[in-house]
Amino acid sequence: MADSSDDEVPKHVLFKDRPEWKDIEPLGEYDSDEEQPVVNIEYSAEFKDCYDYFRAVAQKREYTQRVLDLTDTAIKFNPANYTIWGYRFDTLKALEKDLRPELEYTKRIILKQPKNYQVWNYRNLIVTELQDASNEKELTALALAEDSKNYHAWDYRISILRDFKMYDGELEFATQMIEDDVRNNSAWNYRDFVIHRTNNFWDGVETDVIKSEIEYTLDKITKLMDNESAWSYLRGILANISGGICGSKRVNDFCHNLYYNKGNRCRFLLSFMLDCCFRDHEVTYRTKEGDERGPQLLARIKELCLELATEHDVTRKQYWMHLSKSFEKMIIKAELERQLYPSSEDEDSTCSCSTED
Amino acid sequence: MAKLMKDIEVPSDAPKEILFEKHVQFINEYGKDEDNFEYGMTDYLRLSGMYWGLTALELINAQPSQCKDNIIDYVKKCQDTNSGGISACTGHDPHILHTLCGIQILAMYDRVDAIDVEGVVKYVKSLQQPDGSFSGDKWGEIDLRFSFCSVMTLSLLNRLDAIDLEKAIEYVEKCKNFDEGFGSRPQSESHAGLIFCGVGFLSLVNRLDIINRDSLAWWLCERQLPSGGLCGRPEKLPDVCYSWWVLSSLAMLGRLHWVDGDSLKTFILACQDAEIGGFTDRPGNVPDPFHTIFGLAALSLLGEKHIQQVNPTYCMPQSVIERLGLKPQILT
Repeated sequence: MADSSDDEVPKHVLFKDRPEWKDIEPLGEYDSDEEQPVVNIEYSAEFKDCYDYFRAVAQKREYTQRVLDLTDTAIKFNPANYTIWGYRFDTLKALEKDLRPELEYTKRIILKQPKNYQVWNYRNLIVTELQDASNEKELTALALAEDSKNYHAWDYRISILRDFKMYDGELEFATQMIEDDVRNNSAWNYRDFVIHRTNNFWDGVETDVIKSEIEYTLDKITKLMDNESAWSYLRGILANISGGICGSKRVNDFCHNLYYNKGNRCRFLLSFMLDCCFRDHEVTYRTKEGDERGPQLLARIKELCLELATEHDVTRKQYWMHLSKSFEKMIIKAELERQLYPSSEDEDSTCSCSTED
Repeated sequence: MAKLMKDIEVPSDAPKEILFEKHVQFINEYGKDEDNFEYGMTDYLRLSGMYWGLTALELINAQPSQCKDNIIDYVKKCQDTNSGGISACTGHDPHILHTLCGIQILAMYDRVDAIDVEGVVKYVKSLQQPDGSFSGDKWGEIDLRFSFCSVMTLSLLNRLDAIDLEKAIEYVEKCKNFDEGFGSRPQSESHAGLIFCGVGFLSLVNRLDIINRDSLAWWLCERQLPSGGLCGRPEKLPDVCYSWWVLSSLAMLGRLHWVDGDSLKTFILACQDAEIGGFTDRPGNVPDPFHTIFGLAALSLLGEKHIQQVNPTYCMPQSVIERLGLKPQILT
């Protein structure tokens, strides 16, 4: 920010030296000098002076213009003090002040301290009170232009959108943010939020929106394979269709092509394929088809996990070996059950499959 | 640039052993330094600061420089007689974050009786919203953190019956995302700190069954970067405090061994300040009590012998949790 006049407190006059505060006895933090603070804090004289006067007026429950000005100074000293923000809100209400100037005021502070919980929450109070969220998209966009992963700004934008139902243009906003940084997980999360808030997904149907989201995501993955966020978004989208993670032929072919034809061994691709194998087993469990495919799937999973554990993702080898072992157990269990209860298999399995999705 | 993975390099001359004495000194000196204006700026989280510092000392079997009676008196003074809640320091409004920290300190010193327990219960109860969520204070900020702090406070007081637990669980479930993680509110991005809150909450109420355990555990161990350190979200830098949020969550899920403990330990040790003690977020930065407790607690989870065993749900010494007869759900 170019404007630095608010940052500094030039020629700050202590409250104790201001005539309009003569009637107030400042209230120190400790009752007496003999008291030993547990954690010793060294305040600057200005800071202590301001907060001593704040404590005094807060104790008297004074809500006046001078208190409003005092909260301004106190916030400058420490914008993260939530008591001050609450007191400021009460004072404004008591004085029946127009809350509109607070929008500009909080905007300035937010853009200087975009990770301050208190000011975002205070802003939310003001906007809710005014029932006017028309400036909020612009403000959050500004904060995100500074830090595209600012949790507060995204979270705030989500809550405003939800409360005021302002979804127009938001898919485009998500697209732009992903365009700027395709690895920005916050933007992918936002996309998921917008898509789910603006569409109905029912009965596992692969709607046009789902199809186009799949295309969009596969395009991003093609451009940058090693992108956890995009793969994770893809799983989220596929969870809406019947067959789940392996329910889209387009995605299955895409993965198949990458792995077999292009020799791609990105861990997110491999992990995705592994989860498809698990899903396949779940669906075909105790069916004739499943029994036949079991050993084949097992071999495939073992191979993938071993590749990951020893070559492509050694850091997480424990995870991959765990997957391999747990799948092996599942196959053995299915085989045992097949041998023990051969007659009931068909009814049971058909049932559990069809309720699965 | 976008194609590079975000990470740091651990300097070769960084500390490789735990600097116990330095840490005791660091915590006991913290805030006494006249030049330390920063600390004056943090009065709004003082009780939390005390909890971080005192728990760190406890874990490394050291004593605070203040006598415990003074500490207990201080917590007592921070309790608001009206609402029953506890504030960060005298003269501030009560908040659930500090209410929990106050109770954790008192529980650690076995002195919960020093305050008005029913007042605290009443306060926590007053924060619950009709949808089951909890606000942090009377100003109505809603966050999964506050759900976790509320149930942990009541759990330490053995008064979980005071709130609508079913509704509270329902809300936490709504904060679970498509990637199995948790965000601060429904549909907010998954974040390791909030995952700790979600998993911790479910551990306290014995409902870890809600989580797809292995999928979440995978997301968590994906947070480990080549430097060994853990980050909080995809494509973010590693930070010592995430060693705690991620490891403790994995510990509750029974999947602690899925991260590479050796390289993580190297990273955490490298975040110590060899001169003045304490832990920083990343090697070479300024230490503070927040990163110090979470660095030490993470090392405890990694099996460091000279640090007391820490409980992954409460972030308090296991011995305290056992003394209180608490049994948070930990999957094996």
